[in-house]
Amino acid sequence: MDVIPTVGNQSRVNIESLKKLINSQRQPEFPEVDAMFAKAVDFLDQCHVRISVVGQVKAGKSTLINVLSGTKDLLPTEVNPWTAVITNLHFGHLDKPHGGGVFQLFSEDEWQRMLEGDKEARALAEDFLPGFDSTVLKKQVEEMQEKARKRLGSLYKHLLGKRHHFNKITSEILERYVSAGHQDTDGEIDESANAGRFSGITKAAEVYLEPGPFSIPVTLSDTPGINDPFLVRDEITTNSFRDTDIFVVALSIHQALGVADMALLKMLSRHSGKSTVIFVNRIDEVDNLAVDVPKVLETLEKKLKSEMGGVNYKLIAGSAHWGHIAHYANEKAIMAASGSAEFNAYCAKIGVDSALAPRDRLIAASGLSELRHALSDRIAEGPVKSALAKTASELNSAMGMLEKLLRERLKNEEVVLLDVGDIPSILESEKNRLITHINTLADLADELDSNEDQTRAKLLENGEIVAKSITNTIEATLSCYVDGQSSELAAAFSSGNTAKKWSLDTAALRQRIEEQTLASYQEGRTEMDGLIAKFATVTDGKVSAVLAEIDIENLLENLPHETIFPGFKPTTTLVDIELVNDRGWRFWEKTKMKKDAAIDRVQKLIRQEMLSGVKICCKTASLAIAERTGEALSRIAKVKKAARDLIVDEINTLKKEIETLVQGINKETILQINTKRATRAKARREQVNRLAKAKDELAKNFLTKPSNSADSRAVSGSKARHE
Amino acid sequence: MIQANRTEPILTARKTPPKRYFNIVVAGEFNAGKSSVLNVLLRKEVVPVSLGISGLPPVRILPSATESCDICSSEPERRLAKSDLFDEASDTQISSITITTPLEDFQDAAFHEVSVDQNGELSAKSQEILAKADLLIWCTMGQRAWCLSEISIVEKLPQPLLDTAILAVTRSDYLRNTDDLAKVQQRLSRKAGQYFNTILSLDCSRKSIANILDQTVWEHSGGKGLRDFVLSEYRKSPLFGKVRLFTSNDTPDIAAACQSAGTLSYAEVTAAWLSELDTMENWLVSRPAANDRQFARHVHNRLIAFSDAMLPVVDPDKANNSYLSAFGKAAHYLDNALSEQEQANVALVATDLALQLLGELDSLVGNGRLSTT
Repeated sequence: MDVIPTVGNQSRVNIESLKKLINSQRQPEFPEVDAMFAKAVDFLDQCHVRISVVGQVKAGKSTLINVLSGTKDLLPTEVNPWTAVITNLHFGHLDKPHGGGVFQLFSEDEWQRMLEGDKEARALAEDFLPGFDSTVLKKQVEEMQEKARKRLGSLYKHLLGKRHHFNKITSEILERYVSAGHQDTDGEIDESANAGRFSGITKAAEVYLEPGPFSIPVTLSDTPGINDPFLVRDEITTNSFRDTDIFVVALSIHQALGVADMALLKMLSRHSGKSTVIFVNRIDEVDNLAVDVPKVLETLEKKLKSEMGGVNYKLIAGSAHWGHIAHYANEKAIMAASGSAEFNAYCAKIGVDSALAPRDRLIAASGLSELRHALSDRIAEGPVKSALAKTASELNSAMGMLEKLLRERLKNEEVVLLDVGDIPSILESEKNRLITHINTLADLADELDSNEDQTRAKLLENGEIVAKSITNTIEATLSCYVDGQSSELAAAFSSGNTAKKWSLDTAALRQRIEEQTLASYQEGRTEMDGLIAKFATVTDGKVSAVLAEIDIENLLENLPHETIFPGFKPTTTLVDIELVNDRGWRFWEKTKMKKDAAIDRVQKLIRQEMLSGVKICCKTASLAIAERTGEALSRIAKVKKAARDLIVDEINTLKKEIETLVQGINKETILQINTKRATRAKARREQVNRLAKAKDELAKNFLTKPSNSADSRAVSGSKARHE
Repeated sequence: MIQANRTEPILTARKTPPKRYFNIVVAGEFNAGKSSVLNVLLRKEVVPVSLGISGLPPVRILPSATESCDICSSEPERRLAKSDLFDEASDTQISSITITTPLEDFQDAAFHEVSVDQNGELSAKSQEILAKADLLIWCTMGQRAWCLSEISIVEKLPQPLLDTAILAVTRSDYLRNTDDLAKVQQRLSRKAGQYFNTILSLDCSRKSIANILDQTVWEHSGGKGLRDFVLSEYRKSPLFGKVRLFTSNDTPDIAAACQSAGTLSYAEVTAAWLSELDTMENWLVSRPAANDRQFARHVHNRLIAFSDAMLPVVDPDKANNSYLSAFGKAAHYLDNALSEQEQANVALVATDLALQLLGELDSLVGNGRLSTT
């Protein structure tokens, strides 16, 4: 497998340089200003971009995301419309978990509200999407809710409003929550099936991932296709438009810019300040590539110009399928995809160097590099640029405040006090300085307390999430296995199976469950370690800025249960299931079971056989995480105590100093104080100078200059359209 | 123009609906593979397949012994060659496209290709064609077959038309394996089954169409299945067979017809026929180039006069259907063609019809079934 090229490098560079500037001016001595600086850094760290991939059903949105983000086959794809819930993939967000995911299920209220819908979005969809009819939609929502009620039975009430956590998200799990699910001809979803089991009641899917190819935090949303006869999906997608910065509109080249595509573009153009990239997908399915692809692009450009005049779209032709092959498939598949005469002619036409390796030619022809560049440009020009501008202007006023404070202090220190009559003033000023310092330290101590409380809560929550996540993961894996066995059994029946028993070897299932439990545990453990480390660094950072460093090394060492050995032991790994009816009075007449009865029996037996294993597995993991969490809590308490002790010591020392001052003072002490004041004054002057330089740099590089018309072409375009 | 000569529209003068072509309409959204469906159905590349061209007017394919393609543009007013179609389509306002070609099994059928326009609607002209349709083939591309925008059109179509309509799922070759195809078919029968009783998958790839004359390729593409289905619907139709002019088994009972009509005597009828025959023959002997508009106009007027003259003799309720069929067909040909201002095409059709009519009458006279005494 190849490394997926990155997106957003320039944005990262810009953000980092502003962060560096801020960090060079941090002043823990002035908590109010420092809080503003800290906030600015946090804001920049959290500066993220929301990209939505939208388009008609079967335009290849999920595949495009799988290739673009390097998630390979994480998002489930299918030949029928499959994505039923908006799936937000969060890459490298510092303020979010670094792995796993959460599925939010509808609450009773929300479900009721879904019937009414977002009025504005619904009106827009009715205006533009041919066939979008609110009465039909309402009926479909009711049907969907009724079906979910039926499918989930007694579970239904229990599930509403819940959040399902997973420490590790797999394709199987996503399929359970966000996929439409296979339906038989009557439209009934198989009751025990894995795919789509919860999609009807899932409101949102959040998946947290490492930064992957994204240099700045990105949320990439996969949306259900529009122009779906199941209007619920159209509505889900059209409701989501406002929460997005950049749209990638995926089109199928076969029927590009048809009425539904134009409707979508018109709806998007109503959202000003957002840019749109159009990816004309599936060119791999065109017969005469070199001729037809440029021809279609030309037609599309003409059409966009005549119908969407004002908007400046970036139009890219490509194939997510080729990208998928180039990045994830083997040499043989790459050769097969890039070997045809049509492919070569196309490469020649679009100017791909014929000397490149087949894989690189495939990537070049796939249009994905072009898409990455287009996205990088739009990220830098759009949301990142405005985040930088916002931070810079807030920073400018914070720096102004800081300058004022510094100058004040400088003035205090600079006043030459040598006269005998000045002694009370010197005492007063020195006392005030010490009291301010004590107050700052006392505030810090409180802050450390509340930080510990927060971390404790998070650690405990994490422990619960791990336990729940493991139960959920095992259930998903088991359901998947049961699905597989049921369809194999059904196939065997259709092809005339005459055997009277059904044997299954659960060794592979056992291994899979053990692996997944372990992976889930480890993700949860990493999350916990991260929380501890963050607590320690924050505590140390705050204390060492004003006092001394605290020993936080070895904090994570020898915590119990670095890993676990999930013992998933079903009663037996080889299960034979008799497919013979129970001996009744008609036994001799009909000994073999009917298909449905057999499937039912197999499903029940698998679950029964696995039950004890599941219990043991969950128990092992939850005990381990509980013990580790317990130890972690006592360790963070120790760290905080050490920090607090330091602070209390310092406060006591300062108090003593004040006492000494009050008790009496001689000339020598005065001289000493004055020398110290002079040193502090010098330091202050240096601070003021550095601050002035930083302010200049800020103004030069980051503060918005008078408007530059080339700033955001696409944005101004969509605004023009808006009029 | 041409209709100005007529005092009374022939169709309204008739008491029963005119007999006419069996109209097969192939419709769908742009690029849904309509032309390809026609090509695999008729086993020849009748309509050139175009990618990304939209906004063409409906295309009409009529049976004829000769191949022809007639494209009229209204702005600028001129005729185009078939090869011009895809180069100039976007700049030229094409008003009509009529293709004639031998259609062995479909002697009395007309095929129409109708496209949903850019606004997701059917143009007035398309609606007119769909209103006269006897059989509908709705094309949808396999990958995302059956979308909301399609439903919004199909649900407005009349139920009798949908009763026999076929949903043709095109480009089944894009689906990478048979399992996928089965899944798509299952979804379609669930989602589109309420509108269509028949759903067929077709492989309309360029490769298939290039080798469509190969029986295995044709069967594999699904083209044969589609043709069999269309043919059986066509043969079930009351129009089939009856629109033929005097078939050998027909013995028109003219005397009975005249008596029941009671307006003209038998002698008067036959005399009128024979005089018409003479006039027509003279016209046709001096027949100039087949697509001469002037000539077409003359033939048209003569035929209308002929048909009008015969009308009073035939009681629609009692007379032999064959008479009505012949006149109805002639009138419909001409009426339809002229109302769409396709004079050039009328020349071909009307000439064919006139010759056929004369032949039939001649042979009747020759067989002694029609006597002048």
